[in-house]
Amino acid sequence: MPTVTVRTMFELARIVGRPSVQLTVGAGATVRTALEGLEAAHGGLRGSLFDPGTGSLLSYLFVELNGRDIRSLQGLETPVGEGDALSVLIPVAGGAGSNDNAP
Amino acid sequence: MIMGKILRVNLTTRQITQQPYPEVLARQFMGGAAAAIKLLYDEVDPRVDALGPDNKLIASMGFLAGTSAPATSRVAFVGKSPLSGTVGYSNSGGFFPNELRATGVQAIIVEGKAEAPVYLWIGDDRAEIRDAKDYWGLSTIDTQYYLQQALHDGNIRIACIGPAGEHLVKYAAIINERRAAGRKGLGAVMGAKNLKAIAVRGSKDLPPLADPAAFKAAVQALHAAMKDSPALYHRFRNFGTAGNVELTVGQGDMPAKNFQEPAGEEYLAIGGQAGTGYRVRHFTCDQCPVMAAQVRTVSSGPYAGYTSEGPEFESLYSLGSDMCIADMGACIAMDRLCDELGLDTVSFGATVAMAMELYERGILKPADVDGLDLKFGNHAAAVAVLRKVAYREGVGDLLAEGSRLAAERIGGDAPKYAMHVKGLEFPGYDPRGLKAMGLNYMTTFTGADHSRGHSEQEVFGIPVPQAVDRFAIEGKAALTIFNQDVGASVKDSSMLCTFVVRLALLPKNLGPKLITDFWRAAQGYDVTPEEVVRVGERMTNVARAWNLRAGFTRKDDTLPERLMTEALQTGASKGHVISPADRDRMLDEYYSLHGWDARGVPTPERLKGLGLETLAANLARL
Repeated sequence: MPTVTVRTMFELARIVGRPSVQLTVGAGATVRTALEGLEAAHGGLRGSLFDPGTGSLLSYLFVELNGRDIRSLQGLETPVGEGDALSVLIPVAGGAGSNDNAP
Repeated sequence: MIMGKILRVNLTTRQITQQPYPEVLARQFMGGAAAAIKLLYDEVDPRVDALGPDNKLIASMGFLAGTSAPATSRVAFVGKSPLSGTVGYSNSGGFFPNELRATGVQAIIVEGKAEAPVYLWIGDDRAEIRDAKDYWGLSTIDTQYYLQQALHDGNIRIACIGPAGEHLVKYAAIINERRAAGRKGLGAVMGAKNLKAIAVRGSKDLPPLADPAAFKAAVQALHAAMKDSPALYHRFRNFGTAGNVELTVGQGDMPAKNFQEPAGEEYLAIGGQAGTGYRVRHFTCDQCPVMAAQVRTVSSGPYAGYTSEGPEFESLYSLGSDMCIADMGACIAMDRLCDELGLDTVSFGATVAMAMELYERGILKPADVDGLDLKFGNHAAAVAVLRKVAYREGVGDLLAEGSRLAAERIGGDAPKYAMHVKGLEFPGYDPRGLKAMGLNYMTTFTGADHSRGHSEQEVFGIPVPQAVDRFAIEGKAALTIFNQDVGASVKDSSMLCTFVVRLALLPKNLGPKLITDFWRAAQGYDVTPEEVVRVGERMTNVARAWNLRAGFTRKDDTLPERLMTEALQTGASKGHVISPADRDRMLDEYYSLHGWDARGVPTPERLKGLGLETLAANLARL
């Protein structure tokens, strides 16, 4: 099964327990399913990543896959695979703005 | 017109005059830094000695200073930079700017050189040059305290220099309260003029607004945008700019070890989260409800007892990761000492980081650094060097010149380890993983400056004008022009706080519209957002023209060899550089989109389109 590295910060890192973790994902995984997997592994994250109403990422987060903003890729539907690095970033000194992470 | 007067102070002749704010300056440049740079262009020969009497120091506020608009108590200091030789521009907030505006003054132009140390004392419709011999040699904090005592008023606000400015350290800062117009060495310009301080106390009302109801509506719109920001009153207030440590460590873009590597997770020890453990209170600028400044104190260890209003992110990079110091106590202590002695934290830390690399490579020997063990991570040695720099003692005299000049004096291979553009040391964003930031460093008129043209889209993921791939070269010229010119029109003319713009306005692209509303309501000008953006374009072009006349050319629009050839080996930006081919491609496109020729010289047509025809004649002689 592919393994990806997920990096988080601030309250998300506190819930996860450390700034970066290894996460096993299934074949055909996407950014969305990887983050859902992270949420499932750390129940305290529920409500801290996705808007429960719309299913989109919360507006103050932005996510990079291997350093690239997923909005410049395929958004939450961007495929992830073995060795990828996913960063869930909270820009406290800069607003991420409205967050349409759909492809 | 809401604009106040221009106060002209000649320290050589001791003559002080006042003049009305020129209508053309207000219309074309709005005020603030943009107007100050135009005054510099008109009045200072670019080839003068930055530390000679012919350089001028201009302090200039935006048209919103002193009004009910929040986060606008800011002042731009402008002059020729002794560090870079370019246009020097640095700004500061706090309470000094609004107090100065309350005297009726919009801008001060300081000329000449006093025979002996003086300070400038400005009140309502009056100004005096006074003897400052009793204050010469004092720290910035003591200078402010004892001047307030001598003038019998604790509400006097003071911008001053410390020992570093007096000793002409090329990156000396101007300090008001605990705030710094830190970069570009304008504190040394004050020192060279024997000007220790500018003390102000005002009680005047501003001139009437053209449309008070419309102005009130714009204020309410600004407050609403600030309240609507998901971060401004929450995370930004809690962590301050130190929260950028976590972000840039995550992106692999926070430089460490003089840009030899990106900062890793060990530097979270100097991050925003760690900083909350040192915070004893919040502080603020005048009329700002955010209160994002973090007053931090060290309660144990070798630096116990040090308190500082900071360090901000850039200082955590320069005093921390760039010197491989992952110790918040040491960073707080050095931040405090830089403020007291009047040093720019960024250029100081970056210059010492270079010295540490030269020491470890054997280019600098122990005898060259006064016997200090100047290896990376030795914060005790860094603190010792800090004091030596401020007083130009021993190795401090060399490092007081900044990285470029110090490396040139050391000679041999040393210059290749000096991390600067046009002599200005880098701030805390490694451009190898941020291509538009790299182009901005190459082209902004002050050198490697994060305060002009910051690549908000790459660093903070702000999708305006669009989301970007930070590793891509494509499209970064247009993005950089947007960041430089729109940013200048919104921030450097009105002097609205950069964090309010970044957190509350830019994500919804409200900046030009809101500044237009403010300008119309305050000044009565019938302007459009497009005309507001042209103010920023004028500032960029005037500053470029001045730098060209100073002798800068396309070859100076570049990056250090390390950033073009040595790829990062770890972190999320692993493998990236800005190659010479990337540089040339971005520069060609940037010049072309700007309406500049292949040398980077604004064309007569471009200048005419901006109403700057008179600049063309000067540039024709290049």
